[in-house]
Amino acid sequence: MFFAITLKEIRLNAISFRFQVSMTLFFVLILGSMYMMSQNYTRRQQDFDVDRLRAREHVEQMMHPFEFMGFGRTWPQRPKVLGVFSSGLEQELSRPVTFSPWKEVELGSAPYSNPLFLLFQTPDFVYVVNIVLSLLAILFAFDAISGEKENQTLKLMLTNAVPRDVVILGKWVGGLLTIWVPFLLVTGLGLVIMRAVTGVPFQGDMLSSIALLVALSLGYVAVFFGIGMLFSSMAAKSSTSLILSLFAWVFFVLVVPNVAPIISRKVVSLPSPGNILLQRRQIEMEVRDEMRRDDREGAEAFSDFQTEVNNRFRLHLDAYDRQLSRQVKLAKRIAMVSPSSNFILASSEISGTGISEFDRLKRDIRTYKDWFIGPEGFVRATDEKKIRDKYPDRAFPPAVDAAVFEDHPFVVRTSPFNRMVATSLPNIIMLFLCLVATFLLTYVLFMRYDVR
Amino acid sequence: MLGTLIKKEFLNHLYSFRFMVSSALCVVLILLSVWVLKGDYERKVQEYRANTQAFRQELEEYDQAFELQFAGINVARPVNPMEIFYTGLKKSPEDRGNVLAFFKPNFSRDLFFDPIQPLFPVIDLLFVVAIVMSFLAFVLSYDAVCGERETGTLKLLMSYSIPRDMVILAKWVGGFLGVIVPYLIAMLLAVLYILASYRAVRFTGTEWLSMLITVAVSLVFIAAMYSIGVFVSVISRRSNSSIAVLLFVWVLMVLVAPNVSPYVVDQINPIDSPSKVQGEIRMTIGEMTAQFFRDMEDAAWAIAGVQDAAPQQQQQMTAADQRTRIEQAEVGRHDTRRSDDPAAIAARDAGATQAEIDQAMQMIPDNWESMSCDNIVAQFGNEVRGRLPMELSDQDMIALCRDNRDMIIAQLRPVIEEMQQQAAAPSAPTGRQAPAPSAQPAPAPAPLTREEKWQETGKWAFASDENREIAKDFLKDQMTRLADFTSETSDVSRRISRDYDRRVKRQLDTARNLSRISPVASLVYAVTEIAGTGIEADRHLHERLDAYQMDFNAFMREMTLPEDAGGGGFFPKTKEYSPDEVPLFKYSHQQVDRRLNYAMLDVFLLAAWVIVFFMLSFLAFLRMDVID
Repeated sequence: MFFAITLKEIRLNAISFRFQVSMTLFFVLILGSMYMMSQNYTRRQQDFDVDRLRAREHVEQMMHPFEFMGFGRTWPQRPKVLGVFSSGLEQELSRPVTFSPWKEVELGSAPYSNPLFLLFQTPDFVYVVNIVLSLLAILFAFDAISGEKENQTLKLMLTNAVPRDVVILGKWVGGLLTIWVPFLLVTGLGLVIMRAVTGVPFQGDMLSSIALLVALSLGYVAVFFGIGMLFSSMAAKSSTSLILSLFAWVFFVLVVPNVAPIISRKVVSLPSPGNILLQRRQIEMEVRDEMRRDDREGAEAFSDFQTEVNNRFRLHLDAYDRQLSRQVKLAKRIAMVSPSSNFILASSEISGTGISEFDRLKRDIRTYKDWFIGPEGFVRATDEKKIRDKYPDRAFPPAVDAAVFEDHPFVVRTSPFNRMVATSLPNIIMLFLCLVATFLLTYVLFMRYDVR
Repeated sequence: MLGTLIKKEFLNHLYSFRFMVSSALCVVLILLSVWVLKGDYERKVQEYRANTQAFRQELEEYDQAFELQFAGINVARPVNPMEIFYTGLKKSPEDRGNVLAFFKPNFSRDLFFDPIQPLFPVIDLLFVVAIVMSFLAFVLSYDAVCGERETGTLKLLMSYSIPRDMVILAKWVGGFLGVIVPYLIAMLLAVLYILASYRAVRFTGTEWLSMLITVAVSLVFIAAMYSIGVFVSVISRRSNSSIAVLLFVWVLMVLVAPNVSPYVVDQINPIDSPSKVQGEIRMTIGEMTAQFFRDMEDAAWAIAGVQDAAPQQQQQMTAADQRTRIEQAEVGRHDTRRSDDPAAIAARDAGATQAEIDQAMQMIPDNWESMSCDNIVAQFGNEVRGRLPMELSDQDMIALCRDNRDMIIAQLRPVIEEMQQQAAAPSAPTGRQAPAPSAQPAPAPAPLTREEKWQETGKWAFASDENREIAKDFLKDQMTRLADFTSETSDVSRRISRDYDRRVKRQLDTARNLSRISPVASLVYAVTEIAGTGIEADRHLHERLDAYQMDFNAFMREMTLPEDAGGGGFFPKTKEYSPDEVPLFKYSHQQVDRRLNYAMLDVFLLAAWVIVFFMLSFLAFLRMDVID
């Protein structure tokens, strides 16, 4: 009986006009997005290879230590493969990082020059699932119960010897399968495209990440399907249930995720970056005055100066970071109300483009900067004696020993899979809870549903 | 009659549940966004002031014009009060820029920013209008006609003596009023809020005017979306299918078309990433800088180091000459150093013949003092001969050695020790060495480091008054060269970036045109341009920054050029300047008429959407079959 109802539900959905239209739309969007993002990734990967070589050559050909002091060493950042799925903070994470003795650490320009990329959100896989697929799920669910009631078929069905729970379960499974199966199909196709375009083999952590991403998407879709079913079993008319679920959709997908950071920003205020930099200048002046008494010159003295400034400035930076992480944590907590933001937060973490990855970048930059301004960093790299010893046969030995940086490159390591899962676990659990809650509520409501 | 119909339609909306929910949503979102963004704006203004002050302070710290020239001047990004409503491109917190002669100036960012923002962009008024209001326009219009047909009231209405055109007009106007009333109320509240906080936010005529125009444009956009909704409602038989179709249209128009179009264009017409172009500029300028220093060092060394010994050598050499000379030197050294024997280099540098080189190439044994006289003469014959008062043949020298071995060894010791030292030290840049007469085989001078060379040059410069004058002229020349060099690098980087900007602009224009298939894109462009936070405004800002860079460069050039009427000092004087004289970056936002100019096309497009879909629904309604 259960199978009969499921099958009936699937057939009913599959022959409907909206199924054809929405699936066409969905196929085109997912495949198009996967193809474009993969192409985009490939190009950026190629650019990265060129940039990396260029950055090294630039240091190698420097003639004067001053050039290095001003221009420094730039480290382009490798684009993330899983950014194809969820670009998340990719635009920030893939900015080249420049360390130079005379200046603060600089993040270069984002990998896109066209300002339209800034004006509109990136249409990646997660975007399509988050917005389009969730809307489709609602479209399939809103009249599953109220529609049948309007058509009087529900009454008919319940006159047969079918328990209500079987009916609701069959409807649930059948409806979900009509979305899940095409979704899995198109995702598989998309993965094939991605593999062909990027040439990156799926293995190890990446494979598990992709599997988890797909599973999360299935869960996310199920939540919105559940919301549709919930309103369907609540309202007497299908148009009412549609309007209600659409408002719920707007609220969860468009409002909550964007309002959460606003509220947390109002609750936890951040110190102004401009003031922090002014404090840094203050510290610099203090240290300069103190060190002027020693009357030392040269790279080592400068390195000591920088290290001292850095150490004193660290306090301010840490205070800022603490406040920022409090703000972000609060925003994340508020956003947990919405399945959509749970989905985005979790999927960006799993793709290695999430907030924790950005924190890691910041941490790594600081660690590297400590090394860079220390005695082992730029001081050793610009030590003329050592360079001369190293290149005895060059009429013009380079001003900078580029090998020092090759031996100690700035690489931001991506977190292992289990770390990513651990970070996004609260969001995954919330998503799961939403799923269970909508199902249970629908179940209970349908049990009490007035079919007449 | 029309009035009654409009009133009925409007009231019908007003009492509905969806109207209540949607107006609450609209009002809450608009007020929330204005409240938050006003706070952001105040912070930005504070940042701007703090930055401007800090950057002005920096100017005081430079003792010399050169320091300022190489550090560059920092500028703060000006803030536009309209960001309270439309953040536009200013979403990214790139609030400071460094203007340096060498690179195209740009605004950059540091690590101080909220990482949650790129994930969940802040809601601004534009977001509310483009996404929420368009959604509401569809939700409130999808059953405008087909709903009434389903319930049968349309049939009833038509049975009265009311012309159809009046019915559809009334439906359109009444429904549209229902959509915009919550928006207008929310805007009114927002304006009151801004007026109330006049202490922090000063709106001038420009802002109020652009505010008014953006609201008008938003109304046109809502009308466009509403007309599309009415049209679909007229042509659909059932309201369920009408809303399904409208949802697809909404997803495509609002959420897909504008976002996808830049990627599509990027596929067709790819351009390099900015980091690649920056790398190119850095490389080019790095090469130029390297060449500049090389030339300067060579010129200095040519004057001071070898002027007396090699008068035939040119003092100023062209870059190409330098290159070939260095290459030749490298090749030559490579030939000689087959066995890495410093003795061979010394011999070659001293003008020795090939045979002698071959001889000298044999390793100097540590125990050379105990070697037989035949071997000593065979190996160090030349050196011995150079140190003896008369010319002797090898045979005579061997004889002399046998008689007077200690004397010969004592004579040879300094020479050989020098050779052994050379074996440890790196070789000299041979290209620069003056060939010594072969009759007087002197050991090659130890290779000098850059620093040592400069020291030597300094010593030479102070050796005599004549040298001093030459050195002064030289320094003056070099300072002029440096100024020229700076302008040259500026030109080169400007050229590369201008080329690149042109390509970006072409791509941008194509993407913009493609995205205009969606009225939402038109709305975004029109509103952000009018508010002065859009693409053209950004371009204007960058143009002004470029122009400022020219001013700054001109000023720096003047301040770093040596003055003719120099004082008595050794270093040529440059002009004195006070920090107040440094030109500062001043930016005023464009006037509304200019901004409106950029938005005209999109405003027309929006109006066209309204007209076309209104006409279509009008016609469709006239031909509609009221009876099922």
